[in-house]
Amino acid sequence: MAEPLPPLQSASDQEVVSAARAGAEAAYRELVRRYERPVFSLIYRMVRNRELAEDLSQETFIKVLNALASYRPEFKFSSWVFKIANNAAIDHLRRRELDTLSLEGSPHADTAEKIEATSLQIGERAESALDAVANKELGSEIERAIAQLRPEYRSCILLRHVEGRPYEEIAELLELPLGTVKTYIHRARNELRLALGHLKDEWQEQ
Amino acid sequence: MTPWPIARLTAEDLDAFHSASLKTAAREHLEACAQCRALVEQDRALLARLASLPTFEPSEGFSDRVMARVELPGRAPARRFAPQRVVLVATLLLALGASIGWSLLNRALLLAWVDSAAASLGRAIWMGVRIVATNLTEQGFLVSLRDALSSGGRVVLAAGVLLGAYGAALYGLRRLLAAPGSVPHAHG
Repeated sequence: MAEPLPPLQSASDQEVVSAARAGAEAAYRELVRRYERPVFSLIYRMVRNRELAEDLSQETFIKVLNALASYRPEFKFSSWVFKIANNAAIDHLRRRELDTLSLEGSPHADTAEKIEATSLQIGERAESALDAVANKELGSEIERAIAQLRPEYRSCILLRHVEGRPYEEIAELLELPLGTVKTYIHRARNELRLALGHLKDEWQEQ
Repeated sequence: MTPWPIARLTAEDLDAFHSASLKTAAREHLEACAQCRALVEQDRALLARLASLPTFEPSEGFSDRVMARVELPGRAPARRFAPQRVVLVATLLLALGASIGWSLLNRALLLAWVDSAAASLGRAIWMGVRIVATNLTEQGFLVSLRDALSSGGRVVLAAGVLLGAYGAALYGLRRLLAAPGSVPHAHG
C-alpha cells in the first residue's frame, strides 16, 4: 500500500517533490502554487512584458515538473526553480539582443579603456517613454531603474534583494563565481543609487 | 575621523554597515563621516524599497495551463493516433489485401483486362497525337513558312540566319555570365 501523502500545504518542498514523484497531481499543483508568483515576478521584471513573462513562466514550470525525476534532493528546490526561470529570461533577452552592455561597462573590464569600450550611453538602452506608459505595473521609478540594469545585474539584484536569496545560492544558481556575484550586486546597487539619486531627500524623510 | 575608502565599499561592506553587528571602527567612522552616513542611509533606503516591491500574479488558469502540459507519472500517455485514423488505415489495408488476393486467384481475367485497357489507352494516345498534328499542319503560319522555304537556296539562307542568331546569343550569354575582372574593359 502506498504511503499516505503529507498535508501538502504544510509540507516542505522536498516532501512535496517526493509526493509529486509518486504521481500525486495535487503535489504538482502545490509546487506551482508555491512558486508561480515569485517565478512570474522575477521573469516579468526581467522581460517587462506580461504575456511573454507568462509564456516563459509556463515553460519554466513545464520544464521543472517534467524533470522532477532528475531533480537531486541535495540541492534546494527553490534554487533549481529560480535557475530555470532565470535561464529562460536571460536566454530570451540574449536572443533579442537587449541590454547586453552596462552603463559602467563590462564587469570584466579592468582598465579605463575597456570600461569605456564596453559602456553604452543611457539613451541607447533606456526604456522608451511609450513602453513606460504602456507598462503601468512596472512604472514606478525603482522598477524603471531596475529595467535599466544589464540582465545579469538585474538577475542578481532581484534574487538578492527582492527574493532574499543569499550570495552563495545566487552564485550556485547563476553558475557564477561568488566574487562575480558580489561585484554584480555591488555595481547594480551603485547604478540604482545613481539612477534614484534625485529621490535622496524623499528617502531620507522616510 | 577614521578614513574609510568609500570608493571601494563593497555591497558586503554596506551590508555590514546595515547590520547590528557593526564593528567599532566602522561605527566610529560612520558617526564622524557625513558622506559615508549619507551613502549608507541611501543604500538602506534602496534595500528597503527593493524588499517591499510587490509580487505579481500570472493570469487566471495559469496552473491549469501548466498542468495540461505536464506528463504525470500515473497519467495514461496521450493517444498518438485518433480512432478515426486507425479505422481508415485498417480499411485501406484490408482493401489492399483483398485486391491482392483476388488478383492472385483470377490472374487470367486480370491479364485480359490489363491487355484490353492497354490497347484502349494506346489507341487514345495515338488518336490524340494525330489530332494535335493535324491541327498544327493546318495553321496559317505553317502555310506561309512552307511557301518561304519552297526552294533550296531559301532553306540554306534561313539556316544561315538561324545559326548566326544562335552564335550571337551564345556569345552574349558568355559575356553576361563572365566575372567582371575577366571581361576586358569591364570597369571602363
